[in-house]
Amino acid sequence: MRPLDGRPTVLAMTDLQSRLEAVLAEHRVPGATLGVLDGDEVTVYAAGIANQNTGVEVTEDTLFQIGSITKVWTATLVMMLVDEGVLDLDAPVVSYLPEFKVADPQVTATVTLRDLLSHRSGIGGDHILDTGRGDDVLERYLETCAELGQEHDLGATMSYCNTGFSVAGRVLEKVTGKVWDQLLRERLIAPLGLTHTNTLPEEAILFRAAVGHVDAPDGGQQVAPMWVLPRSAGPAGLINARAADVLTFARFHLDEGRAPDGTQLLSPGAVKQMQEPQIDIPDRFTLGDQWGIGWILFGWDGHRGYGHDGSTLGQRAYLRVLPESRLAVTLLTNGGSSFEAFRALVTEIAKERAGVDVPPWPTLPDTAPTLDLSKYAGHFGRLNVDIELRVDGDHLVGEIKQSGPLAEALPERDRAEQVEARPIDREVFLLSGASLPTTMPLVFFDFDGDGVPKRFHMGARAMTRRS
Amino acid sequence: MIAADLQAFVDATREELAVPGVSVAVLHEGEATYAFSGVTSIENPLDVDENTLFQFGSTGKTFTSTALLRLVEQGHFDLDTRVKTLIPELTLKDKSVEERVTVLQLTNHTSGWAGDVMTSTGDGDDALERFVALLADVEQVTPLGETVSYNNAALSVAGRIIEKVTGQTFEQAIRELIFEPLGMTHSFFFPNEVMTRRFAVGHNQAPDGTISVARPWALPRNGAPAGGIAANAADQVAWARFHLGDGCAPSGDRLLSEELLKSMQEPTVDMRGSALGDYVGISWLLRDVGDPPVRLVGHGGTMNGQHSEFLMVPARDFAVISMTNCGPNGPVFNDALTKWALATFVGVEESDPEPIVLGDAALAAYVGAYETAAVDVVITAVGGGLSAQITPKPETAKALLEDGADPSDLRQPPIALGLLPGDGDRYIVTDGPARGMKGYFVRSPDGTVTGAHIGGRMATRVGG
Repeated sequence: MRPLDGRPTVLAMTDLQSRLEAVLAEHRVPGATLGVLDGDEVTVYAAGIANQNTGVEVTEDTLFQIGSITKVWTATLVMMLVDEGVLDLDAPVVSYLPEFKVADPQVTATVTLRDLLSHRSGIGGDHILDTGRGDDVLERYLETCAELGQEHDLGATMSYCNTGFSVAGRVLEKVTGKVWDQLLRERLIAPLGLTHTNTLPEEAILFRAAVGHVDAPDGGQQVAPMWVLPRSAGPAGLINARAADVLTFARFHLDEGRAPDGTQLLSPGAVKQMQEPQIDIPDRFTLGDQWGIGWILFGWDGHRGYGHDGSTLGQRAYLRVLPESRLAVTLLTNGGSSFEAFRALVTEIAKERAGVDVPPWPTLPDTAPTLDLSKYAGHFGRLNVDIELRVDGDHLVGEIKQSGPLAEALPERDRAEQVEARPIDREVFLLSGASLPTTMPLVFFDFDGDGVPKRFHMGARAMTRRS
Repeated sequence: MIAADLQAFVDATREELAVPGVSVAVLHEGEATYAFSGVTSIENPLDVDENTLFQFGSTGKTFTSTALLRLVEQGHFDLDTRVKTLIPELTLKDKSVEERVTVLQLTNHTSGWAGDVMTSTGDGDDALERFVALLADVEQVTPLGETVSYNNAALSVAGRIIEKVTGQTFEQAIRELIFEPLGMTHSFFFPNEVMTRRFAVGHNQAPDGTISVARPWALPRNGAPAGGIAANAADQVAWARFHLGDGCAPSGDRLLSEELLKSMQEPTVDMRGSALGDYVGISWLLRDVGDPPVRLVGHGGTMNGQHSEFLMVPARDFAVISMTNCGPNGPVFNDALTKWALATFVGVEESDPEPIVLGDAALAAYVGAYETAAVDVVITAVGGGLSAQITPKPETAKALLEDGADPSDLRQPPIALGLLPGDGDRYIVTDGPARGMKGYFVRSPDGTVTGAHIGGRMATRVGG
């Protein structure tokens, strides 16, 4: 039921086409499509360019990389096989993949698909590397996980884990005998009638496909050096789709697992289970406050919703669903400060179409809280990322350093970032830095008896104290 | 003036033939002239420009062979080296061929096994290794070293030799041996590289005139050494400059001795006037035209909906390059353009010989069923000439349909063949998009017709 409290008439509704164009310009986004599912009506708006070098304009049917929104598709495939009794969310992964191994033998023996799909396994999460472009890419990827350490104890908290979805993708391949891409085509893309959704460059190249853009040294945008991430990241983030197809996928979840032609692809129980909280997110501001199976869960103004974001090489995608209002909003972009662009648009659309207020971004209090900042100082880290926090007067400063194969593909200047963090309260700080278009919440947790935090959470990832 | 004439001819011919987009270059005495016309895609049209990438297909075989020769020059092996010594695991159905086949025979289409193996061995770095293993089950069609029968599979074996010797993937080795030293900054193998740039997509025109985008985009990765590169016109001109030159890169660095470079343009085997020309050199296809005869050195390529031609006249320091994004009219464009450019720039006229009309009794010798690994060919006598109906074999049809081909693509109209005067059982196609294509029949010592060389392949007779 949609609230009708003083809602303006249709005629007075915001002209989303001009709002999209204005917001993209304001946030330096080269091109985007905005899709809105309102009740049963789908509207897609397009603006800007798909590729700065060629000047190709974005149209409604332009393919964007939807990045990690793919994770919900992979989780859906898992649930389809759970429905069929082929997979059990609570069985150890190693029972399907005897060759699965991470550094911790206990985790190797006991981690489940439920842990992987809700990011609570603790396994080092940004293990993204090129294991070729062949159909054996996930099999080879699995072999590279044997030495991966833990960011936290299994199930203790959550830390965003791409690795878990590549492993889950390999489970799917093992039990079906089909590569992930093929399974996705047969189980979701074809039955949902998605004509503009695919996973491989040789498929995407025959559509109007957007390319990613990154910040250029002159302050503008430039085409990203590569089009796509390594194929091993497929189940974690390599779907290409147009906005309408993303909305069809969202609608399939709103319709309790029914395809547009009425076929029941996923049971209503499985759809519901994907929306049940599996773990709290310490940083409850950025994406949501809990994780389900695949879905990020959030509360806006007393209304529960689910969604996901995606980020690849210069392309970012966003999806938010408010089931009570039967409203879904997706924004697919190819550069610039798209997170801010999306927040601006979704805030207006949620208010106007559903009467729902998106919570404001956290801000610093007028007076800084009195804290012993020395308790927060120290070296924190996770796989491929390190930060040394120091006290500087009334705030913390530090340098975020990235390493690993993905960071090595970046210019030297982009691998380290000077940041400062100012406190809102005992747990929540706001991080700012030159390359960050806005502030990022940094949430400390796991305090010891002396009030010294063992971890903080940033960008849905846990950073653990090393000293 | 020359540039304006070229542009006018290209625009008019492209429009007349309804080809969506073309990229053309002429190189004469060191000076390049370009003409671009039309659009990259009818679905997402961009004007074709100097940076637009086209899949130029089988001319890529000359890249593979040039890379092999660079490795010969570096002393890794010779053209007469037996392939088995370089790829010890090579297993062929004919054990004698397995032991004897040489590097040269891979490059001049005389290895004799069925050359159109359409199987994909995946997109992994092991694609060529796995492809070579498949050859154990492939039939030997013609005797080793004697008959030219166009052979894509042999080039994939040549690509595997390059991998073995360099320790790199084929694509990386070509980058380092060819693209980088020749400054080819707009030549790419992988769609991942192509798609952030401006590129043409292929189209096919149905018999009713409807043009649609050709899917899928690429050949399987194992086909890369037989022709898997997309490039702009300038990089194709760089390739012509190199092969018209003395073996040095623009930087002055020597890539090949002049002798070895030129040896690629000398006949290594006689084709008797087939669809492909009179002789094969080292991958280059050669034919002599005009009076006095002048040697044409070239290649061409056919991808899914993209057709190209690459033709040099070394004696006149001339090359013409034509890349199109539509079939079957792209080859008609290429043919018209190259004929016009040869006549206009260097005064070389190539005229098709006139076929003769024969009675049914004389034609009966050729009438019958023939086959290659990929197609069935039925030849009948019609109106004083021959008619060839070419049908994909069921497994070929299945592979084509799985790759997204339209069922209507599999039912091509019959091709009219006219026999040419003189010895040699030579014929010429007299109608349709392949008009002007040549071929010949072969006979056993007792005079029975045993094969038809058609479209560059030897089709074996299977029945009366």
